[in-house]
Amino acid sequence: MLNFSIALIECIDLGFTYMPGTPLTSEALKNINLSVEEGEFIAFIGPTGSGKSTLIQHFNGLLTPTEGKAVFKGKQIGVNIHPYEVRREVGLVFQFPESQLFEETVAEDVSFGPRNLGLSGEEVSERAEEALELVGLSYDRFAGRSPFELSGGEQRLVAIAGVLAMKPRMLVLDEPTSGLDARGKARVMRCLTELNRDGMTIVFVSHDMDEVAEFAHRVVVLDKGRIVFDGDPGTVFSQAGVLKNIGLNIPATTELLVKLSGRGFDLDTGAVSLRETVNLVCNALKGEQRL
Amino acid sequence: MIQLKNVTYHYGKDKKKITALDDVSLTIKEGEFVAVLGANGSGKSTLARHINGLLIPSKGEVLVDGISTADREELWKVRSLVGIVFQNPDNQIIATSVEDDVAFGPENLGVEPDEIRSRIREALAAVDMADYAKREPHLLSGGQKQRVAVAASLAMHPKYLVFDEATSMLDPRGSAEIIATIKKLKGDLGITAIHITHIADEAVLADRVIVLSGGAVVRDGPPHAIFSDIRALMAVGVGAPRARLIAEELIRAGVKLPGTILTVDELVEALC
Amino acid sequence: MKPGLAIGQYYPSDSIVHNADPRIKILLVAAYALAVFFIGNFTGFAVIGVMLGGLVILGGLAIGLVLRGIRPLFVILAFTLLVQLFTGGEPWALIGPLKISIPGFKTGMFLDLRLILLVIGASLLTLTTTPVALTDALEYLLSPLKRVGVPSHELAMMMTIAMRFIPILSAEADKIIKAQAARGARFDSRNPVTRARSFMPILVPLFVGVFRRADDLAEVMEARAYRGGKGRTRMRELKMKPGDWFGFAVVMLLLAGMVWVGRMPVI
Repeated sequence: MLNFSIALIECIDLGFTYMPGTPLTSEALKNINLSVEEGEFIAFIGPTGSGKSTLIQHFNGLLTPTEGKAVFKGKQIGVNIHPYEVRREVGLVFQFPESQLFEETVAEDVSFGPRNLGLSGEEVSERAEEALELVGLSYDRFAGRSPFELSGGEQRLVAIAGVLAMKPRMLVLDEPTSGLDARGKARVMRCLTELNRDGMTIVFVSHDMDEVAEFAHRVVVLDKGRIVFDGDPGTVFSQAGVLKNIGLNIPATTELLVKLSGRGFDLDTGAVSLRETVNLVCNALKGEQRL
Repeated sequence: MIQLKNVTYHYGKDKKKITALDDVSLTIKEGEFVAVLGANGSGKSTLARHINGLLIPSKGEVLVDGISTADREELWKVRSLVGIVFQNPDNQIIATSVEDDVAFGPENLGVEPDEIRSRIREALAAVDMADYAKREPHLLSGGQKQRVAVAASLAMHPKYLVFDEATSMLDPRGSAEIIATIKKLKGDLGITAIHITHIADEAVLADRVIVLSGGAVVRDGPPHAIFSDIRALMAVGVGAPRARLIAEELIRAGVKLPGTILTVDELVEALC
Repeated sequence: MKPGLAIGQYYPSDSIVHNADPRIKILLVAAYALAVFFIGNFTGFAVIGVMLGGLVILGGLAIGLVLRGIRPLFVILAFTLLVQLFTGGEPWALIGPLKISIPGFKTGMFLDLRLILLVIGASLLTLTTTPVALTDALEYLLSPLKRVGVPSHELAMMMTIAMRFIPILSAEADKIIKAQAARGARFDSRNPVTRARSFMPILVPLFVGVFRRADDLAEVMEARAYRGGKGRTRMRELKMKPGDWFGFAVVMLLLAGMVWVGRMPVI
């Protein structure tokens, strides 16, 4: 069969049940059909317990589906390709990843991944340097320091660098900015945007709808283990009512547009980024000759 | 009334000495809802720990209803006057059931068993957790765990409650639960709430905002006044409320708007 | 993440067994363990089994739930039986170099049954008693030792905290293992040194986390005016009800009777 564009990740009728066959069994995911193409920037949103974190652990074979399959570049994970192979290509950053730091120096910690890949010493330190620069931490300033004495935001970036040093094609992050202050959030999101611009596929889970609206190119909404929406941010967030029903917020930009159109403004409520929203509001004001 | 008089606090020793609080003077009156806003490392958690005597100033003094937190004899009085809810929901429930955790504080204060039971009922009702008294804490959601922590403080009958980044590890629903709890306690019980946060949109809800940077108070006033100069706030690593950012962009695009908009609703009103 | 139900974890219900005084229950389990050791024949075990069955029914517990407690012992049980089977004296048949012994088989079964009864008895205690009640009772039972310097309150406090943090730490360990696996860590090396070293990336963060939690917890306890056992009141005062004494007496008599039956030299 000819297949010209093989998706990076494909989930086919994927389902996952924790502890099947015991009284504690619980179905975390059901009937997930999804494909992630090379170069995408996708946000997964959903209330706590909707299955987001469980789903992303299928992307690098940390979890094996109990129904259906997860496929990496046409090969079923765990059948045609070993999870260890997939983990070289798909980097996964857990929530609060700074809690996985363990080495005495930043450079050593970032080197952990490449060393596991069996690279030579020289290559390992090259990769560590490169990865630190990618997250915007100067190698010269940070390499020799203990990761435990850095600020929360810096620790987070070191942990992300630790995964980037494996040179994955795709980076999957579970709530990469949670708990960070405004400055820390901005640094992490800037880093992800730049990585994506250079061609890396980025998938992130987030509870911050403003952040999703501003950065993601595609939004997948999960509720009770199923996908409820999958589309561009404008289309997804225009479903404000449904999102609120499942316990999600909407971005301030969407809220503004929805409220304005409720007050008689002629607006397309499908815009989400700050710039688009400002343009829409200005145009609407011009239409009423108030600007 | 809580008074901080020229409070300075240093971590570490000699060469590695770090000044976490630098000559902070503040007065917090009864019944206020104060937000302390600051970036990571601005000293806001150090400030929180001074209010109930977990930390004692290196210089200056902290007075809670006139009692100095440095007075070892009165420390337990201070601890019962000022409750504190910490950041990590998992690390502040001590007992293996909700009611036993709420009982912990009153037990330490030597309250009689019958009185403890009635305090537990009151405190859990105040945070809408009355039905969870017998539950095991690890089966609760983050927001519920934090509300148990609030109840555990309330059972000590405090006048002041400090929320030390109590929302920062919660999802939006959990954060909303805590914010709603703060407002309810202030309204129903007249509790004075001090909410420590790095989230501008949460600070907007307070009556008064104190901005910390580098261990010093840089701004102090009502939210509308504080957020009128968002550039100054950005400079100290504190973001602006989201609606304020949109308003700012609209102003730049030529729309005439007041510089005091903090919420989406205010923005909608101004535009209509 | 769904926290699993640990073996013998408290199973809430409102039965007589649940409501019995925890101190009595602890003392009875201790007496029971002694009785099981003194019983020398299968008849005694059969009688004990009937009594346990009665308690399971009184406690409103499902048999399956109780028996699950034995599952982790399976390897030990099988091992005991096999060792006795092949080394237990007088051979009955030979399979190659292996001598199969009937008395050995009997001894093996006997030892296995003793272990099973012990575990079931202990898990009946934990299934019907909340961790809080257990620690309270332990503190009470240990309190006479305070005079010789045993910090009974502190010991009980430590037990409470340990029980409280077991589910948290197991979830955390699980997360760290996955996070390191995502960085290519492998834990399946056959070389014991490599294998031991591969656990450092898990142990270090786990310890760092534990110390951070300990710090947090110390602050929380201090903020809630904790200063040790002095001047502290207890919400739950342990009070013996007449029924507790009655139950205690009945079970003690039963145990004594069983030991007597169990010492008789018949099968």
